[in-house]
Amino acid sequence: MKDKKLNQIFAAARRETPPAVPAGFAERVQRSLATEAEPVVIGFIDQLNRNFTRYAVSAAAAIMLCAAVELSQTFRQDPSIDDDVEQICSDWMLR
Amino acid sequence: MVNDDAELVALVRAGSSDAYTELVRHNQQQVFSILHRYERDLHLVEDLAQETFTKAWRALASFDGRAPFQHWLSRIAVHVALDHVRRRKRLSGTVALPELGEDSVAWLRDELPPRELEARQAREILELAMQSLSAAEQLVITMLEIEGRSIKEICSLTGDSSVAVRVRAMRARSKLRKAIEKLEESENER
Repeated sequence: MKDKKLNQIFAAARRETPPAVPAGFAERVQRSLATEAEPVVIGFIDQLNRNFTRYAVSAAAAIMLCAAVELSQTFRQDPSIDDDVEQICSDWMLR
Repeated sequence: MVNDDAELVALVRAGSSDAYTELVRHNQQQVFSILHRYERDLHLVEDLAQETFTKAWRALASFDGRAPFQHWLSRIAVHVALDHVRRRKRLSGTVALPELGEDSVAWLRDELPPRELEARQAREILELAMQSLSAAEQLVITMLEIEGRSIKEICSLTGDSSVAVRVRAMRARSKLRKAIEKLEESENER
């Protein structure tokens, strides 16, 4: 009995027509999105392109840091990384 | 003039904002059709539709084109609807429920022949009866019984398993039956 009534309610609700979309809705969406940024970056290459300046500056800073360390070691006459590598090679060859 | 959603998506990705306006125009009626099942106030439906298209815009990079754009957008609309029903349920303790109209009461009291129940009255009764359902149950029963979607479609739109959807639908029907019984009793006592 109650199932029948419930089915009648569902059937009546199914007949309801959806409301018409208010005029200018798409334009309103567009205006609200105008303040947003572009849609998220698509791929790896795009990301690389966008962040190229940052990557370049970071890489240059890393190279300069390594050069500075190497120079300071040369002035202090500490063994450099090259010396260590040379030492390891000669040790290995003498074995 | 581009008519294909996939082409419009490609244009949006290439930076055309006009293409997105066109994409909204292509799909706005479908989004309104989904959302109005969960909200009767047209202004709120419009807000929810705007939220749907804003979310779609933000997530456009994740659209891989395997399914049609319309289907992908429907999933977003369904999740916006679910969030809305959840919010409304949280507020239901503080907001007064709408009263049933005279015709709806007459129908519940069996004073009208069954065929005379109108869609608007059915919505009134359902809105009250659905208060006893969880947000997820409301979503499943609406999609299954009112929108006429298949279990498979509901699974695809909600991301739930078919067992979960079937169980929710069964529980929802049972709760609705009880809620309508209660409504009938309370209206008969008046």
